[in-house]
Amino acid sequence: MKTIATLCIAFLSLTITAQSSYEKAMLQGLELMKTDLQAASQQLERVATAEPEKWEPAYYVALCNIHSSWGQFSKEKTQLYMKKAQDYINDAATISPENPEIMVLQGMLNTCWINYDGQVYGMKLSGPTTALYKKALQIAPENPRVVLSNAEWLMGSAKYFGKDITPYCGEIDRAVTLFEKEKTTGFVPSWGKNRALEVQETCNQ
Amino acid sequence: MGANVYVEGTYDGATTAIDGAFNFTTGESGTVTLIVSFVGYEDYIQTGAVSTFKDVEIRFRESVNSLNSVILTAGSLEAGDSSKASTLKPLDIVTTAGAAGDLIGALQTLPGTTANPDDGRLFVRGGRGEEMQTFIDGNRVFSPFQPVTGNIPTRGRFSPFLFDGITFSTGGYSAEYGDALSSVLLLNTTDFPQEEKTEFQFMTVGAGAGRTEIWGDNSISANATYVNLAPYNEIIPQNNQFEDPFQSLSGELVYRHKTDDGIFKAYGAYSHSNFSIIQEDINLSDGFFIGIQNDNYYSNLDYKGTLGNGWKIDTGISLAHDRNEFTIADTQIKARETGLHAKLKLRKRYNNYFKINYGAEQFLVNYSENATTASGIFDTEVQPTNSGLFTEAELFLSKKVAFKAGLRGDYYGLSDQFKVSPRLSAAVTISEHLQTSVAYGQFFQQGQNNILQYSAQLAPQNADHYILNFLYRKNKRMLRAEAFYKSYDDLITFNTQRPEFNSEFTNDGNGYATGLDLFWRDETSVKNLDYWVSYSFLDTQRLDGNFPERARPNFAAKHNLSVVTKYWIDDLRSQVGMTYNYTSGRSFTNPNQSGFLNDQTGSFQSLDFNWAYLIDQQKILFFSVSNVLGRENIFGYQYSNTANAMGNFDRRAITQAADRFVFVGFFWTIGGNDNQLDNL
Repeated sequence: MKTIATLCIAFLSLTITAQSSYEKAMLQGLELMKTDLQAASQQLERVATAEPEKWEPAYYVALCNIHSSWGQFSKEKTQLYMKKAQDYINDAATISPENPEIMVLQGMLNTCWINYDGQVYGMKLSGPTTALYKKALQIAPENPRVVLSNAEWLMGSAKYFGKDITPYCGEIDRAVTLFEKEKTTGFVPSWGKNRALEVQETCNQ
Repeated sequence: MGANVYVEGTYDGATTAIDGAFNFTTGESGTVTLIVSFVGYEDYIQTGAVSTFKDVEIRFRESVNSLNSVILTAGSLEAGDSSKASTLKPLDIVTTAGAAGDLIGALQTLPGTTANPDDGRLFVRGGRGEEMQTFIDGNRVFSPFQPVTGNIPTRGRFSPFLFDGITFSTGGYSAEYGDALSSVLLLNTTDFPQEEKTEFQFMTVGAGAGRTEIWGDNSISANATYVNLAPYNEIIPQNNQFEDPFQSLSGELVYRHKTDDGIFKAYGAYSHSNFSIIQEDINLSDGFFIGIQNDNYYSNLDYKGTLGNGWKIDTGISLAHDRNEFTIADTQIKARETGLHAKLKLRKRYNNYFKINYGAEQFLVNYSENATTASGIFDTEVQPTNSGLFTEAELFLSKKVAFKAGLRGDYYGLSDQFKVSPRLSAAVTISEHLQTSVAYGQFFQQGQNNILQYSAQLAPQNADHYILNFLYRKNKRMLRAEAFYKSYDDLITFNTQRPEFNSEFTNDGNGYATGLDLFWRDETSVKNLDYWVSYSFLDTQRLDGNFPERARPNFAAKHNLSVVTKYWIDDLRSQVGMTYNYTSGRSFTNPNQSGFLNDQTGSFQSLDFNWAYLIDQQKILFFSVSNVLGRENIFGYQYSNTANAMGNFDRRAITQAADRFVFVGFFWTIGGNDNQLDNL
């Protein structure tokens, strides 16, 4: 899981040629994500408080805290990070309802909770997570992050139950193609291609 | 990792260094607000002129939250994910061997309870089964158990899957709950469902189906179950001679509606059950007929929401109608109970350190009995009422010291009595992993309907609880030790075998219960093994009911031990569980010796086994056997009314309804399409 985190961060695309003060502040935060997740979170929190109409800063605060929740910190800290991530997902979703990018974050955060204590959260969150990805896919069938996250999630349980994962590998291939085609502007999320390639490799083994 | 320091509404800020130093410049002028935030600490907010924020030194305090603060645990046992003091996890209710999916069955493996497998209800710290009250979303459930006889253990009426938070208090509970002498069971229904689904259950004893629909801010969950033990009884020998096998039809309906500030839930349940047996009797060679038919309707409307400015509201109303028809040999008894409970609770949160609850509630009950016997027809009726007011404050002096003080006033209509009951508790952290808490409370409960119908003016019964608790938690291991003393007063007594029209009733009963409860849970020492051990020592004597003198009642065994293990086999995607239960002998009256409750049975022991196999994400196969070893447990003896030729009274052992109970179930959940999740 930690590898997911590193890979996602390393490939945040920073092709924006800035430069309103908002853009500068965002870029600074995204740059920090490569080296210090919590410092990045703090920088982006400042932007989020200053820009209550924009969902992107809150989105990235949540992302930073999700990436801090894959079990690399103590249980108590992890729970605080997960709660913070949830707060910012809620904020982002209030500003931008029905946003498939934010649904992907919620799905990832659910996975963190299941990781944290499968006995408690496994049954509670498995169904909702499946339903959430399904909904995101309905809204944005061509969004590579939605396609990737949904396929990875389903693949995980298929593997566990000893089922064939080939159908999901097809979806991963599709995600890779979509990533290649994807053109994003501004601070709209654009991460995920390398993770897709990595999963594609496990499929080909 | 440093704190986040910034000027509100700007991008200007910094992360503090290891030593707390920070430094940044802002282009703002005039009055600004400086905010300092750090995960796990309370936000520090200060407004002032920019120029004043030079060389500023800031101290802020760790926030008190459920993760790091001391908890008021005395008396209370929780199942859920909300508290770190949870003794059980939500799934434990259904995966505990011997519980057979019954909520109450799983709680019987916890300390403070005495196993009475011939009854099935919860007996807490020397209290009778009826000394516990059950609440769903804060509203009283008037008849939580199905009526049974012939040592067939009763089951809770409610599906364990409906609840996501369960608090079982064995004493010292909040001022919010009245009219309960020994214990309260608080069940919270799940909040708004996240997914549509269809569920099927196929069991050796019946079948069920359920469906959840979501549209907009609304959802409906419905389920229905039919149980018929006839085929099962054919295969597995029963100790009872059934005339009509047990059958029941039950259904539940939950409607939820989200509003901007809260959630409204409407819960409705209906069940019908009936069965009849030929009851063995030492005085009647052919035994006698007992038939029971029960119809129960329960509904509950509840709204929880925020009112702004730190105020929260929780209000609800529950309405129940319960009808029993008992046929006992030539006697027919029809009992009806209609109950209503309305409640309003307001909660003000001043900050993380101080909160206050205020509440008012009203209970109205109408109970009537119609008995047709050889000597005529008798009608009785009684209408108990209870009006309650309560308030309770929760105060954290720091994250290491917490207090709760509550006061409750109850007016009992029948006896025209007003009772005031204080409730106090406190908790202190001793070290990082150890804390202690204490609780004291006064509790009242009026007599049962079947007594009040003959003597309505009887005063409410009284109990005082004193509890001392230690809780040690470290790395998925938990040790909980609790010592308690409970005194009873004003208990109701009568001078006949059963409460009757011409019995003489008094409030002169009294008693005490004292003991020690231990609970140890370890989820980490052996990989994939989760186990808990609970032991309760109970010393109790009471004078109540038909007791001629103070004695240890037969439902209050001295030693109680439960060992529950769950082992996860990853390769088989299976959880295998074993539960061992030991309860020392029960008292009974042996007429061949002098005295009351003067003899003791052997111990009760049972080894239960279960196996849950996850076929895939949607399908679970469940197999369980109770009392695998087939031990013959004896709960007591019935003695002959007349002495034999030798001058002794013969006896008949009262044993379990069946030596073993075998259950196979297949549970299938199908996720729905077109999910409409409105909020993430």
